[in-house]
Amino acid sequence: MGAVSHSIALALTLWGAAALAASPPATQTHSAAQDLDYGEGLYHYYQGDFAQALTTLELANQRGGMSGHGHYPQLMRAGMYLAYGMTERARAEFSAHLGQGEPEPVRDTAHYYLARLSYQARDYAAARQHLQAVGEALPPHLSDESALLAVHLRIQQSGAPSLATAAPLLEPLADNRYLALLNLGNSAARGGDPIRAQSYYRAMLDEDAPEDEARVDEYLAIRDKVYTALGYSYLEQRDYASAKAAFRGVRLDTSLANRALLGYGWAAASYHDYVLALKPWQALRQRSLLDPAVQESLIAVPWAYEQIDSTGAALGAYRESELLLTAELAELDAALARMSGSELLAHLNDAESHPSLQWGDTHSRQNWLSLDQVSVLQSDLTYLDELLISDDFQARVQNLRDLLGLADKLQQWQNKLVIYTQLWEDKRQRRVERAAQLQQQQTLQQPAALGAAHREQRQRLQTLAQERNAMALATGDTAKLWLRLQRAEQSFSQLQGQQNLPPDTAAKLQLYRGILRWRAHEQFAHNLWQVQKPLTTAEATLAEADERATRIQSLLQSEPDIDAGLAALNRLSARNDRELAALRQAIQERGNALADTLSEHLSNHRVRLNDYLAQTRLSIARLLDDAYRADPPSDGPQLPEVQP
Amino acid sequence: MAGPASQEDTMIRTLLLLALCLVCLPAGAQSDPAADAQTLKQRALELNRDLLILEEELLYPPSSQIALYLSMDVAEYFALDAVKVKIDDTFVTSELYTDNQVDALIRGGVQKLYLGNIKSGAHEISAFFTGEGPQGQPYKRAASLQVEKTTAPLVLELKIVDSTAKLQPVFEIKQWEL
Repeated sequence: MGAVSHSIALALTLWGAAALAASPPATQTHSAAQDLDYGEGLYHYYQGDFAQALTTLELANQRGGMSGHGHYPQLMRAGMYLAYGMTERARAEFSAHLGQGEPEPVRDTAHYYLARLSYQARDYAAARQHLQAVGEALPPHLSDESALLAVHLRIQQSGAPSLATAAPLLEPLADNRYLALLNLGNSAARGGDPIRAQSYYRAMLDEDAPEDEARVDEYLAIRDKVYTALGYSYLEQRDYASAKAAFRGVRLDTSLANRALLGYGWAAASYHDYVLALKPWQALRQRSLLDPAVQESLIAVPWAYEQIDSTGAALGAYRESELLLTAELAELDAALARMSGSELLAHLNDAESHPSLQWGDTHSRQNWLSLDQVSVLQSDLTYLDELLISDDFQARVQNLRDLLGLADKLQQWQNKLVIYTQLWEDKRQRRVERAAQLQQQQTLQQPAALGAAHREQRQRLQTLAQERNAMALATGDTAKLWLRLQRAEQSFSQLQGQQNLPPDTAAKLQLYRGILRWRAHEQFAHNLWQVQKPLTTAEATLAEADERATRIQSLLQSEPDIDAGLAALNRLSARNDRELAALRQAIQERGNALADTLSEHLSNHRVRLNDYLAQTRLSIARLLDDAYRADPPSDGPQLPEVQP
Repeated sequence: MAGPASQEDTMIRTLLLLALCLVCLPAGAQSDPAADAQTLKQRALELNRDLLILEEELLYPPSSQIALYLSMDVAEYFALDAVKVKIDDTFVTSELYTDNQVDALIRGGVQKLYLGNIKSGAHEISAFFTGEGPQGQPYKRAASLQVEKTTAPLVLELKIVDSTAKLQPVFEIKQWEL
């Protein structure tokens, strides 16, 4: 289901982006997302990092959601969950869009994907219900997917109808019409109705090739499959001429050509034209021995020689087949011996040597099945083709790969958390040291002491202002002359009574005192303002310093930020360790299970090759026995007579 | 022992059955992924989310946080190669873009280019864009913005926008109000 889910998600992405005028076709224009979180989610998604994309959207959701895009971010998130193999979560998210007054395109899209999910879960009744609820607002390319889903649903529920009554099913189909006709034909063939199957196959062959060049390869691949299936269907009905004609329609340079060549040979052999049968079989024999059809030709060619009584050629072909099969079995055994869960995981983990396992863009991830580039499987690729392309296997590999990616993320977190914890421990240590330093220098007490001094200064100034003590605030020449006057008055008082003192000394001193006092009073207001100004400025600074000191004191005493941070770090570290261990265990289990599946598949092929080898050896023995009986050696040992 | 005709029939029928089985495999065989894998994924995603929140809280508190995003609105006139960002006089981040990254941006994705810390107050943010211009010529442009960092996170979006009027790209820095 993984690949299916990925294709769904891709389709959803295309639709969602189109709805935002950010659609993918090269001919259309794009617009950046209007919500940064949504845009970031898209950025990770388009680079194939589904886990980071989902984390980003979940983060945005937890922080209040995303704006500017209506329902689309939620719809995209549901699609991303689907792409990430989280089908239950995707189902819940798609369901949440219904019955909320959603726009019609959103409703129809949600119903369509719910139908797909139900179909994948084999809940066909629910799938039908959702499909019937899809209205007319489904985007065009999803309409085609929806029509194909309706066909598949019909096949699962009641098999293929007759071509004549299938018109309502086929009419809405566009690009998927070829595939629908092939699957309907195959369904009829499985149901034992080759006539009905052939009608579908022929209907597909009557269809015109697509005009879009990008779809031609897909069309040709489906046409090859149809020709092959049609050929075998005719063969089953013993209509050998039609079978041969159908097989001739298959292109020779495709993987399906082997099966068609084999069928063509059997069609010829069926009406005893063994010479004609030998032509495709011998051509087939030149191809890769890893293909089951080629392996079958190892038996078919000598068998045909036998039918035309060319015993020598038959014996030679059987012996050649024996050698080839023996060599192939040895390679298979070597591959089986190498297969283990650990080795598989080592290759999956080794992104450098296997670029296909790195995070790629959406498209390359979707086609990831690059296990063919994993060396342990390289030689066995064709044996594993059938297994590798199965949805179940793809889903298991995709899950394993997702888990490996998540484990890698959590491993990175584990490393980061150690560093963060150390950072915060260092911060705590620095705080302790700083606190000791502050204590020693009494730094935190200094704002309070300075505040007290400031208050005292303010009080003194207030007293001077009330007393209008102008001389206390006098500055410049006035202050200097006042000091000189005071010294002169002191000297005058000491010299009083002496005869050589000028008689008007006291009067002059009195005059000078008056002048200076007058001058000081003149400057009093200015001088008072000059002293008050820095005091006022210092007051705000001191208050701020005091507040900061109090806050620091409180922090030093309680350390709430560091403690809370460290506690959160420890909690998440423990959770990370637990989840990482669980992921690693799950990865190991799934790796082993995957390796077991691969081994089992290879073992089944081994059984098949062994059967071919046994048949070959029996045929060799039978031919030798016939030759011996026809012309026994006259002087050699005689075979004992078998008594009845 | 069966005669050649019946041998032939048996062989043909066996091979036909085998071939039909191979050809008629259902085109869309379905199966469910293990439910426990989904649970594991869900738990790991939630943990990843919680760890991102913690990381942001520890390393980039709102009072000093600055986040820079890069977006492209169409890209007809400019093929992005690299972006450098300077805060005041210091280059804080630079990025060389791969095709995948550019494709993600063109399709509407937005890249979180930088998450860091700056002091409160006035700052100048400058971004330098390098790439190919409308005629495929080397193209270098810069955009700058004066911002005031407050106690709220500062979120800026570097935008590359095609100007159809000027037929050339326009580079802007937009401040998001949170």
